[in-house]
Amino acid sequence: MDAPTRVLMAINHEEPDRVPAFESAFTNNTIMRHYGIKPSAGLFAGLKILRFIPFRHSIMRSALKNRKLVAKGLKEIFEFSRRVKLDIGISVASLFPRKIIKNGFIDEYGRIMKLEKYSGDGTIILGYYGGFFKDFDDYESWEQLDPNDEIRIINFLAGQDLENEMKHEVFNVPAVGALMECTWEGFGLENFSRLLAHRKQIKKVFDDRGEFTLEMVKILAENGARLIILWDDYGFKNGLFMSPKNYRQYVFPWIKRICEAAHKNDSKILLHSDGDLMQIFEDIVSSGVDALNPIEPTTANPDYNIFKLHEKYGDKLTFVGNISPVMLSQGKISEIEEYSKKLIKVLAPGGGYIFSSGHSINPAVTIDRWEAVMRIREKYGNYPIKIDE
Amino acid sequence: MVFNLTLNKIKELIIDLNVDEIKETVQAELDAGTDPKQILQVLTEGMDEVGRLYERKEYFLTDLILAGETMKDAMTVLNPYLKADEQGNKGKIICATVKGDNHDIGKNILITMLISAGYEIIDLGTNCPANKIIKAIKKTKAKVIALSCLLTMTIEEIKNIVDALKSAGLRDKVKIIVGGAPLNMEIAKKMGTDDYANDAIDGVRHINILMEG
Repeated sequence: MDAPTRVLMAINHEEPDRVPAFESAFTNNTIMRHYGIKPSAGLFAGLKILRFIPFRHSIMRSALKNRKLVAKGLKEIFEFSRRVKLDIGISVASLFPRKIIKNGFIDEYGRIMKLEKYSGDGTIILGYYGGFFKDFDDYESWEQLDPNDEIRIINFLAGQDLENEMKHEVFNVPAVGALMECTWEGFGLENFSRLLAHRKQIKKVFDDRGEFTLEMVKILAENGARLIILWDDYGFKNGLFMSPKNYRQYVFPWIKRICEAAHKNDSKILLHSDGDLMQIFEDIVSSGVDALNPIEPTTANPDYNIFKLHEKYGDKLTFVGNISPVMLSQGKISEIEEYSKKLIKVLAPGGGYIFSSGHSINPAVTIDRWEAVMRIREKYGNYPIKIDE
Repeated sequence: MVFNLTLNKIKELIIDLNVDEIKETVQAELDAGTDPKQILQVLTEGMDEVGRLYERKEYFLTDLILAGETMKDAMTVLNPYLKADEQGNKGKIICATVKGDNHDIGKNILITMLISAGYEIIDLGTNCPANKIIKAIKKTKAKVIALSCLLTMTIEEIKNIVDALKSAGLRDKVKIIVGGAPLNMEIAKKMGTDDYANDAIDGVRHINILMEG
């Protein structure tokens, strides 16, 4: 069975050949090298060189328009995914650099992003360093995102080329920045919180983001994307960033429209949001989201529990997660094995579950712990699920 | 204790997150001759109420931050009127995000709440190496270090700081409290610290106790 079929069957609550697997981010050079991938400096080296070159922004855009070059850039992670049997490879439709700065860039959402080397194994990590917009006027003077900018669809099509080249062993899924995370990060949380006090202004900002994401999803779906990742974050360890009322007023009407547009074009929506989402979980489900990642297991809310949530929403939503990143960096192998087994045993029968960590694979995750997870999936993840004890 | 209607309004502006009116209201109160200490007291009462609303999940992170911003704006007007010994007279706290981690939201909220609670803060910023903390302890004689750690991959840095403090002969002179997404009390103890706080409000409560100890 190929990866797109496997993933889409799981999301349709059908049993494929084995439980699909996904990671929203894989930044761990040690594990990549272990599987024979030599991580290149990629973006890090490119930006370092570009910073000192005249016409750097034109050069950068030319590179992003070059389908072959983009495919070359995506190949490393797609190939790694193929080798470790992760079913999804991510192409991106937004979050592109807009201005190059020292050690990083300001992206098109106004987020100041910097690249750093993890001292342990040299893994390059892209970190958020604050918002570029100080206030609404700043935001209004920024050139808004254009969903028809060709760099967006080219990235997806380059991913399609790779998927075809790999004979669909990896499913190319485009990701688009959505409403909340990109919005607050463009301002920084302090300025964003101030903006929330001004209803007309904040509504305009959310509507801009919603309009862009909706159009982007339509374009991707019309071009054959059968699953689209909405890149977002609504919460953190202790709850939501803003009130459920605000989410219902500014965010969920758009999420509903985005899901409807995707479904109309035979596409599915996978929403990524960290944090304790308990107070808006019902809203996420009723908006039409098909799959949710990562159901973070390290929140402070004991009720934000994938097994309890699955009991209530398992027939309406596909769960994608939730092996603790702390467990993966510090836990005992036996507890990782037991928990991974439990996830498959309880959540996978009948489809509706995709194996994944509860956040991402960061440089602190060790090979033995990662392999423990893969071993369990290999041993117990084939359908029909048979785990007796 | 609230003393008059205008002072009560200042408290309400904090609770209502009214960042647009706080500066002029505080200035008007000062111009009317009100004791700056009384204004500071109602601001603190307002922040305490915001903390309670946050713990009851009636307020959310952006509300807590906006309250902090409102408080900060009020303090820019009020600070010149307060004597030096009225600012941060409950003691000194060192706050930092550990080396390798550039997240500062949690740390900054804690700092705002601690200032409001009457502490003087030595903010060492993000990506803070152990030697910078040691230098700050020697210079300021702070009794509590509050460390923020948001990344799983930087948890071990907490232990590095604890070890560096031991090597410098300072471990028994300071209490260490930690907070952040991947942490809990078990990990905090495993890393050799004294305490863990679930959020900024909890942090202030725990630091009050650590300062008494």
